Amino acid sequence: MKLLTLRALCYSLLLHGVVIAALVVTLDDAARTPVFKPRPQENIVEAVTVDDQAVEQELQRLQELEQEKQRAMEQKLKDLEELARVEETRQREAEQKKQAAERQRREAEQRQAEAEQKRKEAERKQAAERKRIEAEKRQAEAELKRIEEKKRAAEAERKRIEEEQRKAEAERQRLAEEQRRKAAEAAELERQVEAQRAQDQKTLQNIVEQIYLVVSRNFNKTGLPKGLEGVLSVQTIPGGEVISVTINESSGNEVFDRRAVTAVQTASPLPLPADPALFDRLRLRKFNFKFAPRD
Amino acid sequence: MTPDMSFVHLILNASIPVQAVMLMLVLASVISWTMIFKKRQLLTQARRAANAFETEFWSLEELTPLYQRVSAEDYEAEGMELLFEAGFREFVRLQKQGGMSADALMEGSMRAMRVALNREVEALEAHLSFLATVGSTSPYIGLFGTVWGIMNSFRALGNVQQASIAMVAPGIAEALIATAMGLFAAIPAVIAYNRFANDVERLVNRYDTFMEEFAAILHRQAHR
Repeated sequence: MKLLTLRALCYSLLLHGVVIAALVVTLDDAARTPVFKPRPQENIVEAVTVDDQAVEQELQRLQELEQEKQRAMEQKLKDLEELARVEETRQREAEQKKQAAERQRREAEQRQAEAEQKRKEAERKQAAERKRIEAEKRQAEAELKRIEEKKRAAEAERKRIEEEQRKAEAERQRLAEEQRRKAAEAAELERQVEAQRAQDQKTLQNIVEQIYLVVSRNFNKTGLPKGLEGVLSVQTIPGGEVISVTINESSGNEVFDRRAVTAVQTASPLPLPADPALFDRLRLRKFNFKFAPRD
Repeated sequence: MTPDMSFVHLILNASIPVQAVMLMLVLASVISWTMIFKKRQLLTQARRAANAFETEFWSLEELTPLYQRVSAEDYEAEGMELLFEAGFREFVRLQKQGGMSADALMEGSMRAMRVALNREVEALEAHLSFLATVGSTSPYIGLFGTVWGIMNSFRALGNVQQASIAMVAPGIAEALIATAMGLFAAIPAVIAYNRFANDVERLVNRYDTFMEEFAAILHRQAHR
């Protein structure tokens, strides 16, 4: 058993070793990206062999040449300095002249500027004067205008008042006219109503007469004393249909009363107008009917 | 200045917690592979032994010689042989004692076999849970190392005015190694665990079946 475990452990370690080795190799290869390194520049030496004497001679020659060059240079320097001096004096003179001219110019400019200023001053005064006069003129005109305006306003006011008066007059006339008209209309109405009432009265009398006739026809007066009369309260609808009949004022004779009620009920429908307007105007929905049979 | 991105350099340069995590994961991997190799061999052996024993068992007329061979002092019995030995010994002992009903005889030998089976199952399943644990936790451990490493990288980055990817890249790379290790340890462990669990179950089923068959034979003998 132990042996087995040991062997397995060995296998395992071996496996891990292989894996790690593989990883290290591959990853390192991947990580090592090729880097370009520039090669250092090489100095090329040119070598020539020479002998000593020639070198000496050459050196001397070179020295002489150098001295010659220096001398020439100094001479040139001196010349240049001389030239510079001359140039400087000339420049200074020119400068002085220029300054004088400048001064004169400046003075002239100043004079001119003063004259200009004076002229401007005068102009300004003149302009101010002109302005003042103009302003006064304008003021006067404005005043004039104002007065005219006032006059016009007063005129307009007067006209307005007249107009109003005229209007009031017209209104008054119109009102009077209307009153008159109304009075006439009222009178006319009065007359019409009066006529209507008279006609209604006549109609009513006619109706009462007819009701009396109809009721009388249905009234049994056998065995009753003469001269009896009673008042019945009758409810009807347009067309004459009797709804109810009650005794309002008894005649004193019970038989008479009962027969009167029966007669009215039997006489239904009573001869009444069918027109509801007329029916209502004559107050026939509920009316008292005084019944007194003649002979 | 070019950062050295080589594998060894990255690991050696990692911070202490990340290195600890890596070490832990390497250890887990080594142990789990040890288990895998060992378990594989054990299971193969057990399967082979079971095959051989079954062949032998069914080809024999008489069981006593087999029992004598199996129960010899110097013979290292395993798997089915143990089951057979336990069951048969109990059966013979109870029969010798006498005065027992056939059912009681059967029950006693069954009980002995069941105990032996339990012991065997326990032996087969030993250390399997370790594989399961490695399989499920090592990715998290690796992830922990990675998070730690990246955290440190960013913390270092926070102090710098002008940050560039080149400054964090080595830190993140070294942190990611931890995750890679975790996965390297976990994947084989999970695969092996599933495979071995299946194998063990099948073996146990075979043992069970054998137990029932052997019980039938004993039953026949008891009721003779």
